[in-house]
Amino acid sequence: MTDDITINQDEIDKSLYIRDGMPMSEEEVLRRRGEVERTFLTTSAKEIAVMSIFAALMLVGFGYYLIHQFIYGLTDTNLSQKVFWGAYITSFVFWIGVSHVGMLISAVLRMFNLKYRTPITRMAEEVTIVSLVMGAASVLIDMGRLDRAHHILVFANITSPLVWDVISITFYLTGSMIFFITPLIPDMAYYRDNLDPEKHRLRVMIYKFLAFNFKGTPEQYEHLNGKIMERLKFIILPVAFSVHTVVSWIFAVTWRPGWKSTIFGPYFIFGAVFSGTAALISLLVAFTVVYDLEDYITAKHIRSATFILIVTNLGYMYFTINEYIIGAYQSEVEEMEVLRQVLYGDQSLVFWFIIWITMAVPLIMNFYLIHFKDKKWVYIWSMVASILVNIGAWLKRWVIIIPTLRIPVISEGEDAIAPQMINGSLYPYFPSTTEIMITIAQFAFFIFFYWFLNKLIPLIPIWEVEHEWEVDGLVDGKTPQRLHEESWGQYDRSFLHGH
Amino acid sequence: MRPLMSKRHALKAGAFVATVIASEGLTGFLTMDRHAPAFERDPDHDMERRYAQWYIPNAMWGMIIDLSKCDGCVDLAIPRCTAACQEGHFLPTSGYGPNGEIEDAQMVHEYIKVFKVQENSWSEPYFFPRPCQQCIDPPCVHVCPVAAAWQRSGDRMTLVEQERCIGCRLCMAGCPYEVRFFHWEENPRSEDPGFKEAFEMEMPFSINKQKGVVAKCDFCGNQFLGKLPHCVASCHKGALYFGNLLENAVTNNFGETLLVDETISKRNGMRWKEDEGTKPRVFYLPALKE
Repeated sequence: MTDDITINQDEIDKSLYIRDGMPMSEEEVLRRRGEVERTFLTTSAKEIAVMSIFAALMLVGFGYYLIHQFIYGLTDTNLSQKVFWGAYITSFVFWIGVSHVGMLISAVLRMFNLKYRTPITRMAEEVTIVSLVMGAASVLIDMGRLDRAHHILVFANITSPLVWDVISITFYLTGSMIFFITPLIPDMAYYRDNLDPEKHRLRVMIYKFLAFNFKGTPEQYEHLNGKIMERLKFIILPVAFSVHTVVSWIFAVTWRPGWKSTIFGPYFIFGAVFSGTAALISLLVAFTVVYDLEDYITAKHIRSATFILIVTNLGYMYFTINEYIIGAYQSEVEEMEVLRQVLYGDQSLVFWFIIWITMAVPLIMNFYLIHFKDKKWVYIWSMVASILVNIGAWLKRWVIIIPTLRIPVISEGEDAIAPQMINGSLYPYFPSTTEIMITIAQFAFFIFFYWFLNKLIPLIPIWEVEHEWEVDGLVDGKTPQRLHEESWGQYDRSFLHGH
Repeated sequence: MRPLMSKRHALKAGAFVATVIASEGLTGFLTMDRHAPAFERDPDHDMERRYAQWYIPNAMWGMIIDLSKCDGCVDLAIPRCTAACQEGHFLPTSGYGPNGEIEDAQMVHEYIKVFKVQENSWSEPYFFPRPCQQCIDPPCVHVCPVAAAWQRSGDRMTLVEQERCIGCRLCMAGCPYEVRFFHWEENPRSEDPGFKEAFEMEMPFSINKQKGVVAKCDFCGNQFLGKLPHCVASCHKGALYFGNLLENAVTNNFGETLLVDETISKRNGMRWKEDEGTKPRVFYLPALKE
């Protein structure tokens, strides 16, 4: 189906994949495959050292959970009868938001047929899956009765936003798994056939399972490229939209000032894509630099992804202005009790940090990326900007959730303050050690698990990228199929074995 | 002759019909009638729940709170109604400091709480007791994912089924009156003398010893014994009136009985946060200063 696409020389020149303007030799193709193979077939001592730091952080958090929270219950947190949701629910909204990058890359960019999507698809889908798991875990950690988690299926009450959440997150996780596993098949089949079964016994077993008996016939490739993905991309888009909309409805369906908002759905969606893209850019830069993947992921890819970041940043600012300025102008009493904390009260430092340092500064930084000729600066600036955005994304969820819960339910006038009020009028909340450690452990878990996943499977969809080179005329013949015709010995892969 | 329907089409149509039937079934499963807070509903639906039969037919329990009578019990650290409620429900009170201020905000369960309210700087401050408003259309029941917050068919009391609650606290976010309380740890007073007896006998659904679940005021359930709720019975001013709204009569601690409709229209009785559409069954009579 794609065989008869012809592309003229001008378009080849514009192609992202051309380094030297020359078609690639077969050796070059194989060398590039080797670049990816090096990342997941070998693990150096240094990598193990860094991974074990994350594993240790993860275990500390898990230990805190088991020793403190699992035994004593949520009493180990600093939550109270008034501020009953805290760091865990903040993390829940954050992780579900981050997961939206998979939808963006797999569905939206695929729909618009944007080419820079191809090499970063798999990394994006991995972000989605791992962060969805973290989001679900956050809710389970926050639950008072983990032993009754099955009740939500047994006694499901369809009028509850939490049940909508369970439904849409399950759908999205399933869809993302399909988006993740389906393009994995040809690569898995290749490594099933070509790895030394003696040396990599476990790997070959896993790959054999994940290859789903793929033989590499033209019909199978046709099917993969055409039918499945073309249909899936239309299905996954509304599902992904529903996920974060429903998460926002958990707050928006209540009566509470600061949450009772009709724009929460799109507001959260923009925030989700914003933070998700930032998380992806951080990981892209880190993996590109650490594993030297510049044959696949270049400064151009980073810049293109940064463009999404700019658009969502502006969109998020627009929604933030709508949400806060209009609320302030109406100056309803209860609304103002929230806004007073956020704009110039004790949460204002967090709020203005979000606005200036994690939204305005990254926006300017990302605009300036285009001026950098040196790719080193592209990497550094986009890394800094995207990490700032990630920090801001977590804090923004905090600013949405906490100030609303801190205000008293009865407006008690200027002079009369109830004798039983804490702190005059606002109820205090700051996470306890257990909450902080568990939150840190979630981030460590995310990085560790993401890395671990990339030790199991190639982090670049090799066959898809090669297929595009082929379409662009950079490689002769049907390269993805040739993956299966070639034998392992044609190219010197001695580096894989260490020396 | 061309067949009416090819095999492939027949299979597709069959699959479509099967999907429709399956989704109908799924919807039916998810919206099990007994979970919905429907107005007119067969009382038999709730029969498998605890306390489902513990209602008196033709009853709609309600409260009238006379704000001009309530003095806030300023002589005490904790108002009498709150203290009596906590005593009767065996609620943890270790969160209070010596002067009634809250030190540990997790260990304070005020099913009824007295606020001091001043509407504006011209008006006199008055005291505002807040029990569960026992909404006729309760938001907590709508948002509960497992229908642990439920409304009894017989007298439409909003109750919590602690054996089912998963502790997500969504009902606490949904309640406009913030009268739902989370038991952060196992009730330290479950060892108190009388707890077991009360748990089994007196007012079983309002006593909780589990950790990680939500509990709330449920008008004490003493109505079966012909008693008033603890808060009403303890008020030394007789500001709280309790009774069956269908019988049009409410009674306070001193046995004074008011006609509901007459009192509400004469004294401008109002419900709190009427604009939320929750239709509370607690009426407030505005404070009158002589």
